[in-house]
Amino acid sequence: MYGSEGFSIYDIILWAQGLGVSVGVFILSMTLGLLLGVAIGLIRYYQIAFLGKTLMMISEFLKNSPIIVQLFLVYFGIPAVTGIDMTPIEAAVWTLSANTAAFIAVIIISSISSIEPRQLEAARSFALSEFVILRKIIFPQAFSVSIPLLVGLAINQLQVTSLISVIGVYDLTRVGDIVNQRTFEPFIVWPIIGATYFILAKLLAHLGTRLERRFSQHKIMSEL
Amino acid sequence: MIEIKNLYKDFGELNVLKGINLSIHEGEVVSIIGGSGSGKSTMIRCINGLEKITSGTLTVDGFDVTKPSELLEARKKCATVFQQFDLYPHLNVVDNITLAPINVLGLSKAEAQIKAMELLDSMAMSDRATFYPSQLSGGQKQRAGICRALAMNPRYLLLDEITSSLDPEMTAEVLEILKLLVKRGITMICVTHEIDFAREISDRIVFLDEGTILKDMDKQSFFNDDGGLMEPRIAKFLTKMATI
Ligand SMILES: Nc1ncnc2c1ncn2[C@@H]1O[C@H](COP(=O)(O)OP(=O)(O)OP(=O)(O)O)[C@@H](O)[C@H]1O
Ligand SMILES: [Mg+2]
Repeated sequence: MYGSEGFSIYDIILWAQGLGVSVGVFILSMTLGLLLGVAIGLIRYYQIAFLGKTLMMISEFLKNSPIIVQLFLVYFGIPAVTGIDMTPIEAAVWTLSANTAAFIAVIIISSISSIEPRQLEAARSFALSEFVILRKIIFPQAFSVSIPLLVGLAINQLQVTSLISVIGVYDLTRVGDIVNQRTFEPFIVWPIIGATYFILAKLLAHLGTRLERRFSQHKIMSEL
Repeated sequence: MIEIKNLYKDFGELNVLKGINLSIHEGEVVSIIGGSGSGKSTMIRCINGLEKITSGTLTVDGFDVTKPSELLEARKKCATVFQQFDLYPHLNVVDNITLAPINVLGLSKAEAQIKAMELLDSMAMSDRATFYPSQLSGGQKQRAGICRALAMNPRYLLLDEITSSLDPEMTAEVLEILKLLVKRGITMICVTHEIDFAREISDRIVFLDEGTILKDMDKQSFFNDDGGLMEPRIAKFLTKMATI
């Protein structure tokens, strides 16, 4: 157990499992965070009074405190207070979702406020309903503005998933730690783990560029 | 009929409209003129419910714009063309025009597009149908704005200085189109600084001064020496406009 035992084929399986957990937690928490963040952003935009204020206070806490503290708070705190048991992965997903949502809400609000408001008045004057205005005018424009910001956030949150190992999730970083402790080959293990995150981040960036092209046709056209 | 009775509009301490009484009947072309800040835009914005009125009543074909349940019906009867065009920048010209007809009037996409193409054609704009607003000249944007308004089959067309962001050539282009619409018998409420144009197309001239209607006269009388010109403020305004 101690001393260099060399790599084995099982390390690849471990790596794949860690990758699966990291990607899974990332995708789940981004999806939940997006839904929640958009909801919070809209509640703020339509100025639903009490709810907006409360949610904003929670968001402020989530944005301005260390994610590790949040992980501990959820993983140890919620079971202690409510008696609901949580697996490390559940705690990680909930924490990261809430944290992501707080940042997404800000992106949503700022991209909505970048839309020229006179066109919304024009739309209202044509008797379009607020829902149609949201869906057909606000959303597409806000989305095209927010794509680069969302992609930046996603890449950041991907790196943040490496912290969930502190509450005992067997993610990619934890796998690196385990293999490193067994093999004592830090200059092989960590570059491989690092490269895995790097490739994932590049994939996200690539996806973002494609999305951006698709949703900002009107901007690209005008630059021709 | 658009019926405005004793309309007041304040912005906080500022009283912008002070007791406006105005009726506009179907088929009429009414020009609203007056100095900058006299409340012309505010009045138009009250008619289409973009501005909440402080007191008084405002109905469009009997629908009260102050009642949320009637506002939509009132808005369906009016269509506005805006000074700054205010097209939807992420939609091409056709989609700009068809958005409300599809979602408000319930036309199918195909029907709405056929209608839009007819309108664009009538304004020599069919070759710009798939352009985005940012790819159009000012005059083209405003023609698209007019098409967007007409596509709603409005009973009343509201125009707020729709040529004042255009250069003279494009202004002429847009005014020609308005003249055509007037010939076809559309009801039009037209805020304008183009006095000659107002004189040519209007049935009635309403002169707004610091939030009150100083004169509401048929065109002939308004421009007679013993009509609007009897009012020193109007005479002054017209002279000033003529020298620009
Ligand atoms: N949203 C607002 N808040 C506060 N004051 C406003 C607002 N909108 C308009 N006003 C004020 O109301 C007055 C009338 O404005 P309005 O735009 O109706 O004038 P106008 O007759 O259209 O002038 P112009 O010929 O320059 O367009 C102005 O003094 C303006 O500053
Ligand atoms: Mg104005």
